[in-house]
Amino acid sequence: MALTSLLFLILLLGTAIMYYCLPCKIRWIAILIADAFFLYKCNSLLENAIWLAEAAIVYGVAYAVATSAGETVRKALTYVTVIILATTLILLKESTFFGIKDIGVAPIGISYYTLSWITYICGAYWKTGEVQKNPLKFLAFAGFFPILASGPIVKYEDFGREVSGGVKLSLDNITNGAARIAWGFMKKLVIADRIATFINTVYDNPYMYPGLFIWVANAFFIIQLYADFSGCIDIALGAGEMFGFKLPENFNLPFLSQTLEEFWRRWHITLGGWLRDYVLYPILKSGLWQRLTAGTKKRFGKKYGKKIPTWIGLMISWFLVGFWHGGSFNYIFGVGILFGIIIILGDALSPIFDKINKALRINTEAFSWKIFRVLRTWLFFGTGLSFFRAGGLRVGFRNLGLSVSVWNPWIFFDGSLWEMGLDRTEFSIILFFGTVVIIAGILRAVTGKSVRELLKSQNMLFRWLLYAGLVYSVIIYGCYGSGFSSAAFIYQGF
Amino acid sequence: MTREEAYEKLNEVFRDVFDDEEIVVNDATTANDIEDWDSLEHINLVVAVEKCFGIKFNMGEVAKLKNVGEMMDLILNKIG
Repeated sequence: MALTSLLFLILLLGTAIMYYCLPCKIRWIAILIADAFFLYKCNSLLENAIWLAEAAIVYGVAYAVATSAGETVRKALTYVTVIILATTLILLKESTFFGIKDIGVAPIGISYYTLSWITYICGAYWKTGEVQKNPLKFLAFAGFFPILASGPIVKYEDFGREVSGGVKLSLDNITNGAARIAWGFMKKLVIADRIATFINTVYDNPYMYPGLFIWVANAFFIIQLYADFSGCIDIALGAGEMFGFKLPENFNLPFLSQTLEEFWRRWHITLGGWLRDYVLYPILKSGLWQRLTAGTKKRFGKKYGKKIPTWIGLMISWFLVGFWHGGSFNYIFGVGILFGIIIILGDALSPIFDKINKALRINTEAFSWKIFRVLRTWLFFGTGLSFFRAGGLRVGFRNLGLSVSVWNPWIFFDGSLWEMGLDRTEFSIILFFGTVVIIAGILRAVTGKSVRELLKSQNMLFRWLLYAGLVYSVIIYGCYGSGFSSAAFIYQGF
Repeated sequence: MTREEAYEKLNEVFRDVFDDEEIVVNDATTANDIEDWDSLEHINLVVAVEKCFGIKFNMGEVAKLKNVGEMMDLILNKIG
């Protein structure tokens, strides 16, 4: 069930009505029923059995770890469960990477819930997280339906207590949540699904559309992926808000980043944060790494000596970022290792860059310099994403070659761009709604508040006119396939 | 050990890790206040603090620390 389907909206509305009709203490039952329905519609019987078995293990082990006194038992239980969860994820999603045949069975959102549940187990073990005693309340939290398909990756502390205890009815929560859902629908259906046509045309026939066609398609793919993924997150977070749950944000104006490192702190925040806390930090803090650091410090001096082990840890993390997206090398390289290499080179060469900047008397505080850094970050990100979109490492490199083999700037003037499946009207729609998203981003960057927060201080009539306009735009300008079912979200595939 | 005594030791750790003799930290100090204190240097700092005070932080505690005050509370709790 796609988050942009009519069925999802009906489920959400029905659940919200049931949720607020029930007494506060048992409102979680409405969530649990909706979760069960969502899982029933998305998974096969076997997939639901796997999901439920994993959930039962996580619930039982977390409870045992939280209440057991023996450190050895607690540690063993935690380690074994984390290994079971990680192995299940890898075997069901990326078995072909290890030469094992894909059995085609994977519960929806396994890449997301596995990470959330590892967080839950570790929180119980480290005694830094809460544990739910009631198994049904745990299931309501663990299977929270708006975030099952595409995240964000969550901690129990994010909204577990609210699921369990219920949240009082608030008109603000309902309207704000609904407005955010409409905003997400607009990004996905009006922008992402429309612009995809152009990208598909180029990527399906790169020999026919080489050179700057590929550059334009890559630039458009950045827009598509952002509109698609952040739109999906807007719907999930808006749905959460309707129940009074504050889920963690996954995007924080990533396109304002001046470095690739900063970009990944603002893009898919919950995945980056998870890998930092559960992969990078444990590696860097391990005894092995500390001994390695002591050795490299002796060999290369204090400054570089401590950087080298960190870079190795970073490369492992970046490999996993790529691998998480998919067990093929276009992901592992394009959205993993390549970014790791760029970030590490940037760090290693920063003293040389500083000297060059000084020698050339570059004012690194100037606005133009910051713009240059932002554009450079887009270029790095777009290059990595071109491998993501290409579907294979070899195809990715071939397309990269084709993109620089022909110099065809006339395509911007001879009308070629209008013949890629999008006519002028379609382009105008993308341009208009793209500008609306950019203005909303600029307003947030300048004021620190979202458009919805800013609208609160405006007159109700104006606010509701805007909301109505947004819904109207989605209905009129959205791209719908057959039976009100748009293209699947890109990040639902992971 | 009093909080003041612990802060004296902690300041030494910060000065050593970040190579800056001028650093003085307090309860409200965060990573934003110290130029080189990023997510990677954070682990070097944590390990240095562990060594200095003869304690161990678990990964959950490491990831949760919001400011130096919280770190100090944890240190005093562990050596207490």
